Parts: sequence; C-alpha cells; structure tokens
Amino acid sequence: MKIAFEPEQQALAAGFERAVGALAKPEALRALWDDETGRSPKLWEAVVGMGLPAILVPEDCGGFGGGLVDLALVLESVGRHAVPDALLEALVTGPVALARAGSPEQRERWLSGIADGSQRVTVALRGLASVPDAHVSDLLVYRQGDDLLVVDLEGCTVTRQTVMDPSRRQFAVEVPEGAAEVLPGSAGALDIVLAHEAAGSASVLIGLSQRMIDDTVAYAKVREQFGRVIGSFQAVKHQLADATARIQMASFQVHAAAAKVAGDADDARFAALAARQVALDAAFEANRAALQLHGGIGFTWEHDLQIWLKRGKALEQAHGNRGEIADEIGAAVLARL
Amino acid sequence: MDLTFTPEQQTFRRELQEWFTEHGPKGRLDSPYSEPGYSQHLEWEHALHEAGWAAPSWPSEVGGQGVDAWAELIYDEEYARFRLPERLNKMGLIHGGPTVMAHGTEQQKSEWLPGILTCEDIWCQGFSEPGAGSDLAAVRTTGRIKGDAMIVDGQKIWTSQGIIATTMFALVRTDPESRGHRGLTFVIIDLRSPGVEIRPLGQLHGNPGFAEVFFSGVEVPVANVIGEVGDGWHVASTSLALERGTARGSHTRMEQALVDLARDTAATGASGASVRRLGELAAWVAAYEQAAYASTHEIATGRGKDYASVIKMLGTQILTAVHEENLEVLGADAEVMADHGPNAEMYGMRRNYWHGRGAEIYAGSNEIQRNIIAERQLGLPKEPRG
Repeated sequence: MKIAFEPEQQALAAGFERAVGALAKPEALRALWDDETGRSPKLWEAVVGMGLPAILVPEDCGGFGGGLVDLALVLESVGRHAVPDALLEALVTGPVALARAGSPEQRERWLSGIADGSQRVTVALRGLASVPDAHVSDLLVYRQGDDLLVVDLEGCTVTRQTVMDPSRRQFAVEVPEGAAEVLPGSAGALDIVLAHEAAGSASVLIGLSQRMIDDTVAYAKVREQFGRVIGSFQAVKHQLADATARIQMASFQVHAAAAKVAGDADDARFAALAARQVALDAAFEANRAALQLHGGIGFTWEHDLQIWLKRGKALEQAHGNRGEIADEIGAAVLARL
Repeated sequence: MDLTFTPEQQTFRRELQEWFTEHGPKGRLDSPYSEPGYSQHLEWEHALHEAGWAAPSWPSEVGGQGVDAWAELIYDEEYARFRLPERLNKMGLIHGGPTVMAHGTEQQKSEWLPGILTCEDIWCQGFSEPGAGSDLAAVRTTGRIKGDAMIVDGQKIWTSQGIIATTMFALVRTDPESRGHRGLTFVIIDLRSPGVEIRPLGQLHGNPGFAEVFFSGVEVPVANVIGEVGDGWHVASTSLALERGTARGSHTRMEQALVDLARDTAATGASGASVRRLGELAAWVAAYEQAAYASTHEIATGRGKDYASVIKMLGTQILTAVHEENLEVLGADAEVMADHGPNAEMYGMRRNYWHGRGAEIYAGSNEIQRNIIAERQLGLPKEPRG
C-alpha cells in the first residue's frame, strides 16, 4: 500500500501555492470585492498557464488524462487562499462530466477548449438558482433529475444574486427551451461526477479549515489577556487542539477519497461522501473556534478572518450539506448489511 | 497513491485467515480471570506461539517472524475481524516488550522477550498511582539503590491485567530529591518477589482484571533497569506513544462496532434521525481507518510523523459515540443485549460503552492529549505549573 502523494503531485501543488500566494493576498481579494467581475484575469491566466484545466481532460481530447488525486493538494491550496474562482467546477466536475457523460461529438466540441483554457466551464448539480461564476464561464453543465446537460451560457439569462461572501459571484441562470443538450452517458456518469464533487470540495474545505486554525494559533500566541498570551489558557488550547485533530483526521480520509475516486475504486463514492462529511465537521469546528478565539477583532470588517469564515460557511452548504451527506452515507451503510 | 495491498501482503492475509479459520477457538472462551478461562486462554496463546503467530512483527530470534509494519497491521486486522480472544499478555506484547526492544540491552532482551510470547510471564504496566494518573511526573513510588539492588516502596493503581500479572514494567522515583519527570527510572519488577501485594480492584462495568499493587521493601536487581537510572521518563515515552497509537486492529474493532450499530438500527426500524447519525459516525470510522493506515505508512517509511495524540483523542471519542448511538437505538434493550463485542469477557452493549468511556481516560486522558497537540504540534505556550 502506498499512501503518499507522488512527487509530481506535490510539485504541482507547490507551484500553485506560490502563484496564489502572490495573486490572492487578502488585500487583493478585498480589492476584487468592488470589481464588476470580482475575478482576477491574472489568476485565471496562472491557472491556465499551469495547465490545471487540462489535468482531468482525457488525453484523446487534448488533456493530461489525470485523476482527482493529481489536483487534491491544489484544491487544498484553493481553500487555504480563499481563491474566489469556482475552480472545483472549472477544473474538476465540469471536465469530468463532459468526459464521462458526453457523446464523442460533445467531448470533441468542448473538452479541447477546456484543456487549453479557451473555454471555461461551471457546474450546477443542485439547481440553477445559485450558479457560481456564470459571468466568466462559457458553458454550464447542470443536473436535471438523473440527467446531466450542457448549455452555452451565451444564450442564457444570467442574473447576479446578492450573497453574503463578497468574493463569490452567484447567478440565477435561465436556460431557454431547447438550448441545452443532454449528455447521453449521464446514467453511468452522474455518481462519478457527484463523487468528484464530494471529494474535491472536501479538499477545498480542509485547506480552508487549516488556514483558519493556523491564523488563530498565530493570534493566540500574541494576543494577551489577564497578563498572559491567550494561547497559554487551556480553555483556548483545547479548542484549537480539537479543531486540529478533526482537520488532521479528516485529511486522511480526504486524501484517500481523492485516490479512490481517481482510481474508480468500488468504494469511491462512499469514500468521497465520507470525506465530505468529515471535512464538513472539521470545517464547522474550525470556523466556530476561529471566530470565538479571535473575539471582537475577528468580528471586525477590517480584519481578514471574515474572508475564510464566510467562504467556509458558503462551502459547507454549496456541495451537499451535512444532513444530506450523512443521510446518504447512513443509507449506504444499511444497504451493505 | 495506491491504496491497495500488494500481492505479497494479500498472500500473507490469506495464510493468516486460513490458519485462524482452522485453529481459532470455536465459540467464546471463559474470562481469563477465572481458572478455566485462564487455561483456555493459555492454550490459545500456546497454539499461536507454536505456529509463530504470537507476535509476527517481533524478531525471529525471540519467536517472531520479523514482518514489517504493514504485515503487522494485516495481522491485527484479521485477528480483530475473526473476533479472536483478547491477548492474555497484551501489555507485554504492545507496550512492555517493544520498550525493552527499543531501550534494553541484549541481555535484557534475551531474558524477558521470550517469556512474553510463551506467556510464562504476564506483564502489566506500573505507571499510574493514586496521586499520579495523567500526571505521571507526580510518581511517588520510590526505588532506593543499595548496591546491586533497588528497594521499591509505594503503590500502583488501576493496573490492567494486574490480578494475573507476574511482571510489571514500572516508573519509580530513584532520586528522592527530584521533582517532575527528572529522577524517574524505568524498571522491570518480578511481582512474585517478597513484599509485593496485589489486591483486585473492581471496574465500574464489572469486568475484572484491574488491581492495586503495593510494594514494601521489594528487592529488585538494578540489572532490571531499562535505559539509564534517572532516564525513565524518556524510556516510558516510548511505551506511552505505543499505547496511544492505532495498533492492534482498533480500527477493525471500531468498524465492527459500527456494523453492530447498523444492524441494530435496521432491526429497530431505522428512523430518519438514526440513519443520519449512522452516516455521520460511519464517515468518522472510515477516517479512523485511514488514520491507522497513515500511521502505519509513517512507521513503514521510518518517517515517524507523530499522529498518536490525535488518533488517541479522536479515536476514543468516535468509538464512544458509536456505542452511545447504539444505546440510543436499542433503548431499554441495550441493558440486556448479550451478543456484542469482540472480547470474550466483554459482552453486552453497556460494557462496550463503558469500556469506551474508560478509553477516554486511560493512556493519558484526552485532556492531556489536547495539551500535547496544542503545545507540541501547534507550539502554544505550556500551561503554567505550580
């Protein structure tokens, strides 16, 4: 058994980490809040420049034919830096849906453009009321019942929604009658796409949670109350230890799920759901502890903690919430008896 | 990343399964703390030893097979999966023996290790004292060195396997002027020596085996000291890390507890709430299994990243939560269900549940683990001490 990431996977993630470290600093994110698109063209250029949209595109469509495990650490970095772009959709669920469910003609039409960065895809697996990044994407893959459909966003009505996290851009999308095409392989692919969504979103949550706790640990080492740094109080330490333990243990499952999903393992879907569930629990606790231990300063608009707090809460709901995921896992456990 | 076992590992697993199927005890053994039960357990231990399955990861010179960490994990998984009897000498196998291997002299290894495998000696751990539970630096049992002998006086408590043990690995204070963890020494004490008194101590779930051990003027050869005199804290930390790890198939037993919960959930007409809770717990049980694999990977690659405190703290919480939910699902019947649990003497949901609660206390309470995570992993300042 080999449970570590490959050196190339680590190198890719380290490269991405450097790029977003420079391009997605909190002040840059704040500057984008008031921007019409809210998106940094430089950041998307960097993503394309590193070949990230091509990783999950099959080789016969101009991609690298990689798997989710190749992007797992990159997705953690997305969470760690609160990258505003809907990269889970653009790099993972979009390409996978088209590759797995698309007809040969659809694959050819869309995937090579995705691989070279000329076409950007977004995804809605839970309704069209709140689709991320529809304003900067060219096409949308969405779910209708058990079908996956693809539509060119140019012909759709896209209305921006007001949301809590000023970095997020969410849109209600209206698809005109007859504009969308069904992806014919939906029946076999839907579970695979959902597994990618669950495991990939879990990776983002892990990075995000770790950032909240790292920042809170740093704060607890300097903030003084009652003549001592607050990090020396057990009441504070134990909350940080609890959150850290959850993130650490959840990470083991999240990494395993990425590998199982990438390898089409028999238990990939179960592993992915479990990964999302434990990552959600960890994110919930990290979010709670981070604000609580920062105290009043963390509730201040000018303080950057809110960037992660609000993104975290949005992403706890965006790709299947705790109740939905747990119900599904519970049913799967009973079905295995 | 390739999360499958190699063909060699799968062959090893099959060999074990075949052997366990053929030789494993059929049905439940009596409690090892009863006379018939003790002989039944001893018979099983001898069968394991003769076939080379007593401790496959131990070196072949002392009766093991010298297999690697992954094979050891497979062994532990299969042992747990077959619900075989709890090992009679578990404290020696998991903690005492490996500590001797890590810090003992060649002489000490050849003197003590074989007796653990044959069960000629049954080991117990002598760390806890009435005033030193989680705070082992408060150990007060003394060892006065007089020539070649150490004279031990004091008391140990909550000693698992204490009522059947012949041998204790203990922390004693050899420097009477010392405080804290300086001046402690790790020593092997023969409990058959004059001056040792063992009194059974009940546990709240009724499972026997616990003891208090009293020492008055017990003479122990100084040659029984493991490591240096005064360096006991360092030696004991090896044993403590082993105790907090995921060894011995704990993830497999946790999965079995989850399957028991799923069966009971189904049998009692799964409500929406109980299915949801089952799902939440199943996710954490899966994560715990991956934690066991990750920590085996660290051992196998010799990198030794330390997950022990995270695993101990969260693992015991998950296990308790699984049992807690099973009580909830069974309702009043939880009191009488008798067919659960991997351990012969540990039948009944309530016993498993209470044992899980105990696990949150032993091996360094979960509060201590939180301090360790906060101070060693996160680098937060130490709690001020009086």
